Amino acid sequence: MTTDDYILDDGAGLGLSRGETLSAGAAAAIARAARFGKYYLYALLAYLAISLLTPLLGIGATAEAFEEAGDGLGGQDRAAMLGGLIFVYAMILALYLYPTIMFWGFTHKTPAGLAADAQATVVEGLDNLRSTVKYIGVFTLVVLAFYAVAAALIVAVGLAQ
Amino acid sequence: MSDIQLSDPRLVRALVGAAKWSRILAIISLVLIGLFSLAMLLAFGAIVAMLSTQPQFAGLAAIGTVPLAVLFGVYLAIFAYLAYLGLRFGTALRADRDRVISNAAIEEGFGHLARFFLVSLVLIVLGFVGALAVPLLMVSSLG
Repeated sequence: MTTDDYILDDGAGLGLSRGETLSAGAAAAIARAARFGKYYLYALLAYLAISLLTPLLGIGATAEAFEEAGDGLGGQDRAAMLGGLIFVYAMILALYLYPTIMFWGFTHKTPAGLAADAQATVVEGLDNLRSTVKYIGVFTLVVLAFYAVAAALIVAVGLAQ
Repeated sequence: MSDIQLSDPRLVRALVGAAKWSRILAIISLVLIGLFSLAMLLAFGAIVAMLSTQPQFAGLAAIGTVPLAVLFGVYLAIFAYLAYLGLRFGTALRADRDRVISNAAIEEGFGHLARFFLVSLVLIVLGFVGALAVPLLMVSSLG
């Protein structure tokens, strides 16, 4: 069933009972959360963009400072610094792109769906929220597991010596 | 009243899933904050004294242990409050026996989530202002 069919069908094709519907108060609470989430996302992206652009601009300044001090960075050194930064940026992009897109979906699709009374769009927006929180949760567990393994290895090496 | 059906299994799955992971994240955060607070209570003075011996942290000794402890306490309390809001969002959104989430639960849960985003937004703006203000203050004090 496509999204359009689902909207036209109003959920009846999925066996939904015509039971309780979303109240005005609950819809307002979801819309408010999505609105603040949108501002939060914009602020976070602006903060990240500035934090990530600063070191990129700093490479040129650092290279010039070294050159002025008579200890010029060679073309290879500058390329290595740039390559390292690009690698770090690619890692950050790979890790944060998915949750950012999902969170963007929650903050934009959910209020649009509520305004249009479109069940499928609201569900899609809230499912995006679920995906965002799940991704952050799994990522956190993986990082904690990594720290636990690292700590265990350090203790094991310390005991062995 | 809208036409959005609360009995939609996809809607229930999305909300219950978001709430479950929110609870997990909040519990992990609270445990980590608790452990960190305990470590700070037991060894805060020793940690500050050890860091002060490093040239890059020499300024810590000048601030003093008590103001630093208060600063860390406020910092941890803010993060604990954020984790608490996440936990309240996660515990409010539970499906009943008929796999339906009530309007009251949605209103309560998303109220906490909105506050979570608002506090996080304020923290980012404050961090941004702080990141700009500190270098400007340093430059003005040098001038």
